[in-house]
Amino acid sequence: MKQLKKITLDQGMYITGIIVFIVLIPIHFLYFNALNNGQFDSCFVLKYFGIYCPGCGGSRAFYAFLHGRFIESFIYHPIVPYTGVIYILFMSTQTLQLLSKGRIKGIHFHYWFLYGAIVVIALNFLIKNILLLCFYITFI
Amino acid sequence: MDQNQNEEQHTYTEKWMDNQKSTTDVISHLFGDSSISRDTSSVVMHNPYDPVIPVNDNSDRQKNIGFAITGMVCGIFSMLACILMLFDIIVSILGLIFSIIAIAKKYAGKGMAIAGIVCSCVGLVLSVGFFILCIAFSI
Repeated sequence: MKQLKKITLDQGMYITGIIVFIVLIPIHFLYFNALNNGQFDSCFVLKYFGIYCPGCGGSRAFYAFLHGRFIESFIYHPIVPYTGVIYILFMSTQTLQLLSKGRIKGIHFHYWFLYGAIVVIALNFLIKNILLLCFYITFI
Repeated sequence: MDQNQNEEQHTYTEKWMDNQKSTTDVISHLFGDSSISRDTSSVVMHNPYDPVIPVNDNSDRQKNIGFAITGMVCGIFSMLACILMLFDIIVSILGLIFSIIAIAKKYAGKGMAIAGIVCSCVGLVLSVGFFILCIAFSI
């Protein structure tokens, strides 16, 4: 009986990355361009309760990142450029490794990518709310 | 060629067995233990030419590191998507389940599983809190 080849963590993440890319392209064209035309409603948590939720600014940041406005994207929500940079580096180097049959080494998936994401989300949530509540500085 | 190799292997095995016997003598001499006999027939002899297969007890646990990773990813997503309330509650519960399984079954990635539980709890509290506030203020 032919045994199935074991998939490593990097290969699993690479396949997930391809699926995410296939899913995100229609979302980008349908949701951002066709339906909203780049215009966003304010998050209802900010609108009604006066504080930022942990995901506030995510859609704007994603839209700005896809249009090459990276600093604007970082200001809206730093998790988007953080994820975007790691995604591009990982996928491009893994593709190079695949095409060169292992001669070029791709970067591996590290667990600190996930820990870093938690730190970024927590810092973004705390700093933005402190600046909003204490100094009335808005970001969205 | 094969005969020479077999003879060499046999000689090596005999030398090794003699060495074992002499070791037993030294132990019995030092500690005065008469129970240690020269009879080595009951001792399982391993052929030094046998390949050594490393035994890794953690291999099964390492395979299931996906539980901790999934729990942590669900936790991060539940924190970001707390605005989606009912959907987020489901994701938070999934994150909790995966993380708790990873800890309870002692799979690899305990740190990630703990982080997954913390993030899922934060996401769950936020989404339930916003949901209750929405009902209270009839938004």
